[in-house]
Amino acid sequence: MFRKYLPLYVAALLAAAAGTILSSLPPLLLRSILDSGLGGAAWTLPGPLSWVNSIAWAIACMFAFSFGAAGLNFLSGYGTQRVAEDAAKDLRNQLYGHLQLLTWDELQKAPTGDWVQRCTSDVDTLRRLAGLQFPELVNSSLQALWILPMLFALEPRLAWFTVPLLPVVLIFSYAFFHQVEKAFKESDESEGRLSGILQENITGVRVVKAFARQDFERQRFGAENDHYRQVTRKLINLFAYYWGLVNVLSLLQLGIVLTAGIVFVNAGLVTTGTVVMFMTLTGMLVWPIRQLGRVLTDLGKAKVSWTRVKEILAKPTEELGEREVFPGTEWKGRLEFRNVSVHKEGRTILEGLNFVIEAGQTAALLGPTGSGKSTLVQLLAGLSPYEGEILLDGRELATLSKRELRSQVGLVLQEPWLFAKTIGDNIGLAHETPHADEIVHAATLARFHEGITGFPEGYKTLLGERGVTLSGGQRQRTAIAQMLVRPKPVLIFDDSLSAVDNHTDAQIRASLASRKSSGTIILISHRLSTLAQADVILVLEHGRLVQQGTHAELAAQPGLYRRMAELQNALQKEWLL
Amino acid sequence: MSDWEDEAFQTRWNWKLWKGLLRFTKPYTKHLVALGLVMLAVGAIDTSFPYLTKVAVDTFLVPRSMKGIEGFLALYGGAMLAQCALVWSLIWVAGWIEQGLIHDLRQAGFDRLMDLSFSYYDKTPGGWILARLTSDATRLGQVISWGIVDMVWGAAMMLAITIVLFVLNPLLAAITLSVLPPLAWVSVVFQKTLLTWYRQVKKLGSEVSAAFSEGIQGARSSKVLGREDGNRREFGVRAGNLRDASVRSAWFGALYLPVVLTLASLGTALALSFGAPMVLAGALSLGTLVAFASYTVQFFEPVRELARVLGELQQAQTSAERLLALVEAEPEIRDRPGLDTSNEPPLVGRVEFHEVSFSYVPGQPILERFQLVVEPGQSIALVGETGSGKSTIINLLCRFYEPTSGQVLIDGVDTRDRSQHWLHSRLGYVLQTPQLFRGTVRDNIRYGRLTATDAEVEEAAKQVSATEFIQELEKGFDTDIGEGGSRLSTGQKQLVSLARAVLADPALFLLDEATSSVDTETERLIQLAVEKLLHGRTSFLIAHRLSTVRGADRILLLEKGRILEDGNHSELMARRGRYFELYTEQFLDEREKQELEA
Repeated sequence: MFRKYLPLYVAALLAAAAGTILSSLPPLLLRSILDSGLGGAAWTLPGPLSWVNSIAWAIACMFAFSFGAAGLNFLSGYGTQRVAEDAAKDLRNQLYGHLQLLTWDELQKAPTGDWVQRCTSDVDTLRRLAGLQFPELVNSSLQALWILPMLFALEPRLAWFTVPLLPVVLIFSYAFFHQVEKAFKESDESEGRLSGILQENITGVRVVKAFARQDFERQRFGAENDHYRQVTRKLINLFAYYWGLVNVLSLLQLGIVLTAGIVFVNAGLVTTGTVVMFMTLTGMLVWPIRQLGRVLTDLGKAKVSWTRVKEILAKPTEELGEREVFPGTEWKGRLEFRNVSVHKEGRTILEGLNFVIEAGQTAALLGPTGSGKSTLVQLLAGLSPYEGEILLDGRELATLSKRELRSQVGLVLQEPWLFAKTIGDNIGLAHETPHADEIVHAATLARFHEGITGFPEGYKTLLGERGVTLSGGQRQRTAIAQMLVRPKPVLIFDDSLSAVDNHTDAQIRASLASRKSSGTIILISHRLSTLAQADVILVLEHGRLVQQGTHAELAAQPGLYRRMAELQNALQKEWLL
Repeated sequence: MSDWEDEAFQTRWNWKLWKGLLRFTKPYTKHLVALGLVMLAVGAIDTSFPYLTKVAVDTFLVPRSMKGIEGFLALYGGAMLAQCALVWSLIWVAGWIEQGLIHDLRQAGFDRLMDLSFSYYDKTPGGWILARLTSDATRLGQVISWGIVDMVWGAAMMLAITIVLFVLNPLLAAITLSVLPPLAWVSVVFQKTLLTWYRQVKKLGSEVSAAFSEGIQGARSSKVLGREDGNRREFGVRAGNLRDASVRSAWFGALYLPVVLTLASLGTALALSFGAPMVLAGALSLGTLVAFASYTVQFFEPVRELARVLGELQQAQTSAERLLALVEAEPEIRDRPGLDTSNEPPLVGRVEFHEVSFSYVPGQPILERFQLVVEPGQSIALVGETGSGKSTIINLLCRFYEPTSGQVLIDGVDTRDRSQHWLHSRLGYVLQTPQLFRGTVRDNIRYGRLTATDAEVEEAAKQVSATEFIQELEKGFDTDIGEGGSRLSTGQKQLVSLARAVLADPALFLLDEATSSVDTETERLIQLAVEKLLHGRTSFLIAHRLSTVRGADRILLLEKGRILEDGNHSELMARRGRYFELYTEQFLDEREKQELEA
């Protein structure tokens, strides 16, 4: 997926290489300027540069080369970072798209915090690797690979004196940054605990105050605060030792070159200009090496990040498919189950279901916790696989695309998620170009219009962290309105009226029935008042359909439904009679 | 609200603000002075290395002499070792100050948080407070310590190089340093722009994180709404914005170094062009020319650092302002000055609200001239809709808030005439959402009475029937329950918080009953525990469960801050009023749910 960025990336790295070569030339020119007796004596420039034959030329070229090197430096820096940003954007988009398409089961158990971390900080680690660290590594290596041979070509005897401490600095730097990881971790963990205590005290301030434990908490926070300061100072001390030592090594290396140079000059073996040039080029070698250890350590981290990102992209997704597989069909909402079963992880969730809900009927599902009600309605929205046949207006659900199916079957969740947008925008989510009237109409049907206009900002009220927090009942009514913005022949309420009171529940059902083409409605509820008005009541137990009928029929049979109906009688007996 | 929007950029220099920080830097005065001196020395030595090269050129290389080489090497070695020691101590001292400041700022902020009243927490989002004591404290500590390092070093370097150049050759120095003003100007402009853009990138980055979080949490809702394409489109715009801002700042950031390097090499070219004739004329030594060439390159680093630090200091003002606002916030509720706390009586439990009026927001009264008398040992259930004033009554009784007029009297004394400690150490309070702390089960129960023995802790757990589940945990009472008690279920947390209240053995007990769904068995245990707790104490319950309501001595049905109905369960049921309606509806709802749980 990132192949298309390869040419630009390679070009940027090549620019860096060219920059390295150009920036090594000015010291060479300086040597000639110095050794020529500042223009008096003969020029000693090697082959490719032999055309530079006067001091004015040399100075002009020095500036030009530096300028060229700076320009290439810019191009490579910008190029690699641009590629890294583009690739990061693609990766983020791909991750987000993948997460949107995950199967229902995956989403059910999604560890949000961990996934967000993978999609943000791990992607960021990779972005930094591509944009900064890898180019830095290439650059430092190229510098060594170019400058060292150059030094050996120019003056092999002196060149030997530039290398002895370079590997020492490299190894020391790598070992240090590798080691210091542990101290970093300790400091990070301590900081994590510190934020934890802080967070607990902010959310738990009532408890702290009610037990008058302010001093106790001050001490607890203080102890961790002290500990964090201690471990972090220890970490910083490690860096103090590192930079102190590595500076000595670098300066020592330069000193060795200088001393050898003085000796060589006195022996008449090399010129003054050569020594000055060696000093400059050795400096260019030794300083970047000090950072190399950090870069190498970061490479290891990037590998881990890449694995973590790939794990997300490997999770199973679903295919949404075409908008319309059966164009022109006028869906009515007749549902038929033929021998439908669901097995998950070796357990039977639903078994051998056979029933029909006619178009326009209201069906109620009743059953104890874990009897399979929610799984059943999820099948209708194409959210999980099943055995057997489910027909919508005579067509097997599997033959419809998910996109098509879900625009016919609206499932209202018990705990809907509302987005950090205005309440109006939340209601209009399912519509591509929602009209204000449609939103108000949907909210009115869901009996929430008055509630919304009661907010100071009305439909423009922002929800979420920076806005208003809605109560459970308000959230459910918003979710119902979301589904009502577009007419759908089948509407399912998965206990999604549980947080509104009986009165509002009845009002919402009345307004649903008042719609022009009211469609098929399936309700899951524990409220007898809700169940009693359904055209057909289906009673599930242990994944099987055990009873089916109207209120009058079921109230006359022994079973769960009758037991619930009797509760009401018991209540009436207790206080009304 | 705009106050909490992040990262307002202050361009003005605010001296008053920095003065406010002085009390935090005071303990580190000695360290700061030492750091300044160390940095001066580092700057001086950094400057001396090209000079040493000059000496080498002029003394040993050009004359081809080894005379005095021992002395030179000793000097070089000395400078090298001094540099080693100085670098070590600069990092050590700066780190010491940095961590010390961060520590002190955090502690001061936390200490103040513990004193602040509830009204502060109502008005301030938790995330905002957290950010002040984490990122703002860190940024301030960093800027003050490392900022000084870079500033003093940069200034010392620039000064030293300028002096050396002028001493070596004033004319050439003036020519070479002519590149300095554009260098400084370019640096300041670049660094300021870069900092602003980085900030923009950071903000867009956190928007992308938020979008990921929302995308995952809302994925199921998106699915049933068929909202995937819309979400992806919206995310694509966000990711695109982040990419554009990042590329823009990468472009600008990559430009800075080449521009500065070009200016520096222009300086070198100037030095060589004007210096070479001087050397030929004998007015300048070759070594000096070499030194000029290296100094011009060395100059840009301190300029860059200075420009960066100035920009960062300016941005840190926002952090300083917000952190100081927290540290200097005044608690609304304080003990009356000169209150004698030496001889405080025990709490008996007679509670009276006398003509109490209260509002959280001026003009929207919750209670108006509210009257209530509760005799010691009575249990009171508060029933009513959200906003009817139930929680407010408890908040006033705990003196988390004070009435706008009227008095809350406990044992006949206005709560404002007692210390907060007197009241809070004598009341027990159990919250709707049980709030536990990191640590073991034992630690959390002991929170109720810090001096309790292990046996007493275990006895408290036994009283609320929590022993059984606690013993099933891997390490029993010594099991670590994670941050906020995250390793326990809601029901288990509730039992632990009840045990905590039992251990405190309060004379006055307040309970905001949980509505959260727990299984029937746990609910029964909680029920029993609550009944045990209430026995013989004055208690107030915000009640949701029918059985606790039924058992209360008095039920107050509240509506809009007024007591609509007052009496025990059978009295109110007989009245066939609002309570009767509420009760019958709830009764049916609960029984229906119970029937389905079987």
